[in-house]
Amino acid sequence: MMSLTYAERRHVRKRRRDPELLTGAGLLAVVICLCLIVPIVWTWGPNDITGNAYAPPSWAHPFGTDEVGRDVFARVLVGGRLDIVITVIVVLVSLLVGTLVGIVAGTARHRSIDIVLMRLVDAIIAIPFIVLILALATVFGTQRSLGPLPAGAPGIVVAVTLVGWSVYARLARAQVQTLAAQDYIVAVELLGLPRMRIIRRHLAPDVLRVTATYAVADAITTVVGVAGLSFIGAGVQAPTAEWGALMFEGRGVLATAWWITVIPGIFVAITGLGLVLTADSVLSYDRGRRAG
Amino acid sequence: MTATLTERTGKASAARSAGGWTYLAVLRDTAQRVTVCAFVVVVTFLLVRIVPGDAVTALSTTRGSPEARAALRAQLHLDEPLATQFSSYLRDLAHGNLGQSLVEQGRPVTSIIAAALPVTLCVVAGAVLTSLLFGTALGLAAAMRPGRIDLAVRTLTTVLLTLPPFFLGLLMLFAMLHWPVLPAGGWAGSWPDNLRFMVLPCLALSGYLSPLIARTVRQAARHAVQEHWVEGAIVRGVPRGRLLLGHILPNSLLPVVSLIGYNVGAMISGAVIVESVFGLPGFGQQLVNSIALRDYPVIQGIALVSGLFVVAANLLTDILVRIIDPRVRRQL
Amino acid sequence: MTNDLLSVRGLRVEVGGRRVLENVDLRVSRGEVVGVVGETGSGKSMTCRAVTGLLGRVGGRAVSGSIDFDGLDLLRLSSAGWRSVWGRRIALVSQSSLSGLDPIMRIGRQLRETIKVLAPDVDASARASELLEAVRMPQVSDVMHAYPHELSGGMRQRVVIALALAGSPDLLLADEPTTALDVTVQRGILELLAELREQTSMGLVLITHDLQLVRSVADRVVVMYAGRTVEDTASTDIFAAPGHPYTQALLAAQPSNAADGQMLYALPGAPPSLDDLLPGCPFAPRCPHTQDACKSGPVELRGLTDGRRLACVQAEEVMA
Repeated sequence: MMSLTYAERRHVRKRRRDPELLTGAGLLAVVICLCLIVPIVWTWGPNDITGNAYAPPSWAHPFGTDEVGRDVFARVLVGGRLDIVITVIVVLVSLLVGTLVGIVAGTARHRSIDIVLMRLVDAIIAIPFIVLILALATVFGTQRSLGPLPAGAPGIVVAVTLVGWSVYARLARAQVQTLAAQDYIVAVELLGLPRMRIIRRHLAPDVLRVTATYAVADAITTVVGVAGLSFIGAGVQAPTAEWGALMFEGRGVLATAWWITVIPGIFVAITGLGLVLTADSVLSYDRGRRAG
Repeated sequence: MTATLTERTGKASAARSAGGWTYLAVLRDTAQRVTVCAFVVVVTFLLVRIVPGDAVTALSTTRGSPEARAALRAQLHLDEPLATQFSSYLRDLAHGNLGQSLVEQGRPVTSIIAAALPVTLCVVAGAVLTSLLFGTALGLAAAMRPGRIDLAVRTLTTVLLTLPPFFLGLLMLFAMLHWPVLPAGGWAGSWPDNLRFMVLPCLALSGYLSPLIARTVRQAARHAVQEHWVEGAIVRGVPRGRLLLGHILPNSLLPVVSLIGYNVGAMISGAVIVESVFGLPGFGQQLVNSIALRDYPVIQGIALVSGLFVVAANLLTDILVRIIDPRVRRQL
Repeated sequence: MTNDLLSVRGLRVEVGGRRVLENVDLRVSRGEVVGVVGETGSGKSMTCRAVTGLLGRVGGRAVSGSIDFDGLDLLRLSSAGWRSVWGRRIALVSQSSLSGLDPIMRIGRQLRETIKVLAPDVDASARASELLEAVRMPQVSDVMHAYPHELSGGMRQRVVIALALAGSPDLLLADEPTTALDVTVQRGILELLAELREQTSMGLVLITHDLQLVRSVADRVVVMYAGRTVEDTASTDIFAAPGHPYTQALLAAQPSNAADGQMLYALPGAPPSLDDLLPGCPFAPRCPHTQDACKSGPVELRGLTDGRRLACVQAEEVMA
């Protein structure tokens, strides 16, 4: 990683107090803490059946109960855990695989490799996200579970990752193209430095920085996508708690027991908001830093 | 054909700055997009065959006896080598045959898609129009009146960006249940009755595109307003209204064309989920049903058709952008 | 001396609380060409903005002083008032020619649009061609169909001049009209402006940092420094005998004034920021003739016997 210049460090300090970043990161921190910590100390578990079905929000059950009397508060928070885990896995793997493929395509000696890889990426991006993932999710089946991931989750993780890496690949390759034309790369190449070394030490870190910045924005699509899929019934299955699955469960009783559907939706929105704000401020910070 | 890192980019940029004719550029774009179409065909083909074990095994929970499974395998050509399968797939495609539904025995996939596609397209088109109206109005307002209005618009767009369309749709449904103004889901099956059923889904879906358009228009308009040529026009006596509509608006809408064109795929994605919320008989409903019943040919067909549609839309956008932005015309 | 067209007196302008113009004095008669000379930051462009009603766009406001244009008080003019002035009575040609034209509209259409607004009864296409011919544009019909980025810098500048002339204005301000152009093209534009001034009785204000540029074209030269006018002299006199020490320095620094092999004269120091000015003449820190009187109080623009005006305490002595 290139070290920061004095001006850049000053810029970073200024940015740390940026209200957009603080709000965004703050929201995310709140959601993550809630989902990770609170269920440990909360009286009800996500699958505890009380006799009290469809109870509206109250002090005992802040988010009410569902059709078999499970505490929605616990279910929403535990469901959040699942969403967070899935999102993190998917985004990380997509980021790494996609960046790798993009760098390979951008630096391949034979242009044909580049062309084939990029057309493949274009094709994956062309087929509408949801359509592709639904198809894959079907193929992998919604009944499988894997380790700590409940039924349906592995299918979603694999499906979304298989689709998600493509955007990173495109981004990474574009960045490689831009960087390779820069003077310092030309200089280093003329010096006779071995190709792999140039790529590893000079190109890759910069490309990764760009794609990692995008990853925050991608997390938004992922969270919404995963929730959306479960909402249609193609992702995480009932009775597992997950935001989209919860919304799916509560669809039929929207008129009467609105809390089952609306509250998980609000959580999705808040998480999305936190991510949007963070992504925006990180992006503009990065742009500002590069502009000097 | 090896090349150093820098040589490769150098050649590319030299070609780009050499300038060229529009026709040549369009030809190159088309060739690129056609290659992508080929890959779309390949990807959709592989889609269904990726699963470990074959499709029939995954189907086995709903299909019963080993003989039935074997028969099904033969019917789907799954017992043949991959290459043969692919060539038969291509041959069928050339004849416009996308296979037959496994659920509705014998019904061609093409007829299922033909029934569902118009609905989805209507929703997408309606949402694009709505987004265009809202987004442009909001973006221009924010650019022309900096201060509180700008802040309000920016907050509104950020909030909309974070609300997934299906959540918006759910909220709308919820509202309709209490104050029934518009139908809460469903479809009339005939025009113009369908329009009433389209309003909410289009609004919900436009929640995705409007903020994007508003942001783009706002940025482009703000940039345009600060340009020297706007000052020149003011001092020449061009009246404010004409300046806004005849100069700033066209300059601000240019990037919107690319935005919409390259977001068609995302809009179809959104439409799929929104249809699910409102129970519209489009791709969304078809997909969900097909998933539940493992109707692979239909899923594959929908993926193929929508993929090709998006590629066509992207190509159209490429050409459109070249036509309307005179600065891009000369570039390769 | 008739100042019957434009009369700027004691103009003081602030932008966002900061003083950018201190005491600007500029007078233009009908048919007269006035060159306004000064370095970057001297306030010449800001003065131009004030006269063309564009102060608001950069958040500036006139704190005191007056701008009188043929009886109109430009500082208190309403938007409706400006609408009758812009293009029809006052016109502007500014620096960057590409950014003077809408990049996605053809030249012909932009011309016709302006003509229709300013002279609705005239045949717009015919007048457009006339205007392009008046600015000596080659291949008029090709240019009419072209987009701005397809023309060269010099041609674009001619288009901008044509647009400025569309409403037959009484006063034309040209803010650094040739700065972004090659030297050879510069001459062509200047000759064009000189020609136009002869054909019409239009007042022309030529704003530039290049003193030599105004030599051949201007009737009078106004020199600006640190946001104020320091000299106002007929151009025949100013090059022979510059009055203000700053003007003298400007002339001495011209490469043409140096003999071969001689070091170019450069004025030591830099123009002051208007925020931390000391009382007295702003040029005092760099002036070779400074006295105590120069630093004690504000130095006003005074008229001298030969018709020139100077903002210098030692005017008569310095000129000797």
